[in-house]
Amino acid sequence: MKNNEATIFVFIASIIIGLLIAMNIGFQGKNNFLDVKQYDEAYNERTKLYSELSSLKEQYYNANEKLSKYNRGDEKANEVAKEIKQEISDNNVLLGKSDVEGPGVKITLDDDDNPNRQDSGQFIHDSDIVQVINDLRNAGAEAISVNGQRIVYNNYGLCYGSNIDLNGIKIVTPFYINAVGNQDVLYNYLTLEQTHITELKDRDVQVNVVKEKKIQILSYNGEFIYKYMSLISK
Amino acid sequence: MVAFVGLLIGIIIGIVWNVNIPVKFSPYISVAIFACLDSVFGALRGSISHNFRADIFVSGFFGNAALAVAMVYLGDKLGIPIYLAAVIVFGGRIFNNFAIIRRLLIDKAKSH
Repeated sequence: MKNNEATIFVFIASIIIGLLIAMNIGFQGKNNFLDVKQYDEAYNERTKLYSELSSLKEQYYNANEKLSKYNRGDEKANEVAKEIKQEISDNNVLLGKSDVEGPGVKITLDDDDNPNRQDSGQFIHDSDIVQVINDLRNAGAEAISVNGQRIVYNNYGLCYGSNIDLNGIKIVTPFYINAVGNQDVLYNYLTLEQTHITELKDRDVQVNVVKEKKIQILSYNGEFIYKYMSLISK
Repeated sequence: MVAFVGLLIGIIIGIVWNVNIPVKFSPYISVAIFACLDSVFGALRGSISHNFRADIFVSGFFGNAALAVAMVYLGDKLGIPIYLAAVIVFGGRIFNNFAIIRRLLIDKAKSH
């Protein structure tokens, strides 16, 4: 009887163990225990991946270096472009193609309003303007405008009776001549030295020279056209 | 004899059912199997030496398994392979029991 009981229990227990074993072996493929061969394979795979990784890292490093070199090269090109732009803008400022501002002097010239005078000395002539401009240039003025017209290298003045043709634009009295430059130098030169301004003063036309901290001179709005000259190739 | 038959039946049932326990529990089940095997050997020895007690067997069968699983879990959490203790103890006892069963069976065979 006792033996029989034991047999039954052992039988049941064996079935349970068998079940457990079958369950545990049932997922061999997903087993997290590897046999020697699998371990070897996995180990080799890992080594391979590691070496791949290091070579990829090297590649990445090289590519990165190249990239940074390009970036630096770009920077250089940018700097060159910036310099070129700077030079162009400088040239435009010098030529009169840009609006500029700065300290300088304002000169107002007007005809003598004495109605009894009948000589030509009472009027401001084109040559007067040109000479004043010349004086200003001599005193180191960097930008000059007459009645808002920027004076550039090829300006000319012609007198057509009551008005002056300045570079194709007719201007009349009073003339406002603005000049940007060292205001003290300009002022002193125009008032103290023997210049055309002093001569004009002697002629009793209305001359007024004032220093200004900030004078705005607009750009020359005409075109620079040349037909005959060309660059001398060095 | 009956143990092998039971084992075979269990394995067949397991394969037919094809129940998969999560991989996570695989080590637990392994140790539990070991504990159960130990109990079964103990029962065999008891049945041969005529001092088998059902209550002790059942409690040992499930108790050992539960303790072994608990040890594996604890070892997993603590980072110490405590399950080795269970494996060694159960392994040693299985061999002990097997030795005793062997002796008893041989004695029985000789006495006839």
